Amino acid sequence: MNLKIGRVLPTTVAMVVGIFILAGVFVAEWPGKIFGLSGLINQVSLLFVSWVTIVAAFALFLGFANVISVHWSRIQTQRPGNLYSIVLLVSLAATLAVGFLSGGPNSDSSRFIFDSILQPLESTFFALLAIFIATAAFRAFRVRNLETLIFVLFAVIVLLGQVPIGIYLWAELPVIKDWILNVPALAGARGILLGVALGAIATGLRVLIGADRPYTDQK
Amino acid sequence: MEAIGLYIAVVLTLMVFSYILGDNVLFKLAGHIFVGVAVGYAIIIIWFQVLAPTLSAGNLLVTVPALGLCLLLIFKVRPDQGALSNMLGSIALAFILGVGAALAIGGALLGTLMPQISATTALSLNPAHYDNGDSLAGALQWLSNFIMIIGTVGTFAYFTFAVRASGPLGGVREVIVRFWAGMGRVMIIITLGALFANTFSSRVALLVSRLEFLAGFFGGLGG
Repeated sequence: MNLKIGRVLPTTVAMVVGIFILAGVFVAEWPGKIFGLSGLINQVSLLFVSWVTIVAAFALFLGFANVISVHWSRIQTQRPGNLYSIVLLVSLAATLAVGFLSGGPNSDSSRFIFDSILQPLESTFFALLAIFIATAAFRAFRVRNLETLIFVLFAVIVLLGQVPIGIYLWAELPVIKDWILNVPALAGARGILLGVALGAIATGLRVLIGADRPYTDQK
Repeated sequence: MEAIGLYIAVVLTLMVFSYILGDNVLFKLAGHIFVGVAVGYAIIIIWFQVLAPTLSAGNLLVTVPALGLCLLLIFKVRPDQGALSNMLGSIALAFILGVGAALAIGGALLGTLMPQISATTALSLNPAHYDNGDSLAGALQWLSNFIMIIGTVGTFAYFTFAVRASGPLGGVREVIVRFWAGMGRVMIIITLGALFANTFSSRVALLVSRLEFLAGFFGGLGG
């Protein structure tokens, strides 16, 4: 009995909330007011969204607490790499202290942390990817069949069309690059997007009708 | 203060670039500093820009049920605490996923599916609809539109993961799907090639900007 309630109650919550939100999305498309129903649905769905904003923010806090707990236990048990965990927790604590004491992310001290630590580190990590992509490209650019030939051909044209040397090689290269990006690549991306959108709708509907229950541990 | 920030940025940049010589302590330190600062910064943003303004607004209809759901979510941290606590935690999670699923459906339908379909159906294959239908430019536009339409349909058909249909019409359906999926496969390869080139060039641009930053710093020291 308990097992049944444990499954039915969360599923009912997901269904009811989902139906209100979904109705709220489409209410804006309804012409005119239908006996004040559209206003009510809009208000309720907005209320649900404002609740979920707070709950999702709190869920992130739980995630952060998990990061702290994992690294704290690594320090306590003196596992290999605990020095890195100390560095992580110290940098986290320092950022929190500066942020809360200075009055938020728009303060000068928080901007200093963003401009001097976060932004340089993030952009350098992404820049480092260029080297790995280049080494991966050497492997990927080995033409073995027609499909890899097409891949390499279009990748090289787009690459050369974006750099000044491409214009020196052939003046029409940037025009061809633009055509590739605006026609065949866009057609492929559009087809993929349509597939992804239909997949998202199907997955969402499965959650709303209770066919998928990722929120419970019961099958 | 600005000079100190510059020195910190240079040291951290060099620590990350040290990975080019192989995995080492400096790179790992930089990675852990990044995670620590990023988590701390995210907490500050969430607190000051989401939680604090909402909670301080004093709207009990928003805050009380939301805080109740937050409390329920704590039960989900350790799911092996028993059936009741598991159910309570699941309610909060079901609420989040219910809202998320409904918003995803609405977003996918109104934000992706309908605009993309209407953009594809707006393409005309009738040269009379073009400004310069009789010229070479008109022929090129017709070709572009033709490729756009068969490319979109073909790519979409490539994602047909259905059970092979039986009966005489099943074979015909199989041939049609295979034809379009083959076309879609070529389009996907072209798209991935273009995306690869775009990603690579953006990363190289980022690499150049970081190297310029270092060169500017050390150039400034020298001169």
